[in-house]
Amino acid sequence: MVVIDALTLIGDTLYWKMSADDLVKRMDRNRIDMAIAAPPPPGPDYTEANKMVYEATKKYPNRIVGFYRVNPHYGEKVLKEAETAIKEWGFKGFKLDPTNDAYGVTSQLVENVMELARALKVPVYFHTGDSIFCPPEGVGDIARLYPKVTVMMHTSGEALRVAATQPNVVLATGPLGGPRLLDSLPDRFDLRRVVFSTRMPIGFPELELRIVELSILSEDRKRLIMGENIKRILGL
Amino acid sequence: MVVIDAHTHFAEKGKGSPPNTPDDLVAVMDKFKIDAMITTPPYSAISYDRTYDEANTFIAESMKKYSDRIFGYARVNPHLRKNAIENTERFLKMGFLGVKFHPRNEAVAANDPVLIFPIMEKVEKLGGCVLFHTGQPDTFGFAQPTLCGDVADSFPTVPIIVGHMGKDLFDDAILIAKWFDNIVLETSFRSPHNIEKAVKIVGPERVVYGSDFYMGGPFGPELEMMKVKLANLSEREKKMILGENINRILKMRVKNHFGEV
Repeated sequence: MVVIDALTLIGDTLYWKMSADDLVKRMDRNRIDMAIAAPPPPGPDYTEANKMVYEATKKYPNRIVGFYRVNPHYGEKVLKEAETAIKEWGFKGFKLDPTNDAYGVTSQLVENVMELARALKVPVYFHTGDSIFCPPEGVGDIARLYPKVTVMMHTSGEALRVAATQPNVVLATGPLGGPRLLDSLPDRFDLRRVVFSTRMPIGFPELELRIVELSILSEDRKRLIMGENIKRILGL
Repeated sequence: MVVIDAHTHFAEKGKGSPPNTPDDLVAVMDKFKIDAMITTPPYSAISYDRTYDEANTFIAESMKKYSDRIFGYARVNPHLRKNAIENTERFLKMGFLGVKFHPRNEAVAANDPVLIFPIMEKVEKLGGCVLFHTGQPDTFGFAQPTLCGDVADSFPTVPIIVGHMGKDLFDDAILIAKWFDNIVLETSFRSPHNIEKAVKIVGPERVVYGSDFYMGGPFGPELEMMKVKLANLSEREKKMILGENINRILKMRVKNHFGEV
């Protein structure tokens, strides 16, 4: 089974460091074939952090795929860089984190990035949570405005409700609390829009993989979630 | 090493998910190499057994059958006031280690001076502990950890176990544990990094393993134990969290059954 981790973090932050080598070591230990990596917070300027991800993708072209982190507060400058990141540097999508970069998910700032994503035909991953800046419902609103853009976010009860009626929303699994949410998915959701993720190093691949192992989902369904879906979505 | 799951649920058939007999509960413990569980009725009095009498009695009988493996937190319905105080005394005298409150499901603030504090006075007098379910914003006003801090401040001799370490409000839970020595943090649903943070700020002595079994599903005890084991802590600290701490704090005297786990 091909295992692709749909969201990991590479960076040298104020609080912790995760290098490309560290990531690949942990992937090897856990038999993860490939990972999408993006820079973690804090920002506000992610130029160097994106560069670190870019270098990781060059060092491990068959193992690491980059998502370009955009802080839309930087306006035209960052949008131009983001365009170059996709067209020339090999990034496969954008990562937005309204909470940690302080803007509303339904603001014009996000629409500017969504316009670019639509033009470039790349997905946008939103970091969601309880923050007023980026609730799953807000991600649903922006996904509705841009139905041709694949919008990714972390799985939660609210995210599932949003995704159920919004076909361009893709849910990333991790961190999962247990197999129960996963087990309930076939009755509620199109499994082709669910992708395995760990959020390493915040999340723990050992735990996430064990949860999938304990899930009662069929092997075929697990195969979709563990790698086939993200492969198809990103054209890997 | 001793492994004690400090937060589980257990009820007879028809009143809760399996296991529904003491034998089956012990079989679950054996499967996961857990020496003892502290368990409590699963559903809240607002919508089910209003007094919890039957549910508590079922656990009391199970405690008698497996006195070294099954321990209990009694539940009482704070809205019944006099009845709740009487039942607190009755069940603590039967051998329950303490009382559990679920402020969200019982629709009462953890620090309610009229409904909760008189029960706390009884617990304080009889020498038990209190476990609070705590959680994120759906419970604001009822079950955020800071309210447990108020209880801990008012009843400094009563161990106050903060269930789920406040869930997404874990930073608040850790802070009240830093401020009040009688706060105990229970780990269910928290990540290994959250557990590390609790130990770093509070120390390892008041962090205790809990799974919320069976609410977290049949594999909850394994997965929640895995989180403690994955945390970047010393083996000594992990042993403390997995059982030694709660054994000491609640004077349980649980013995090791399974060697090193």
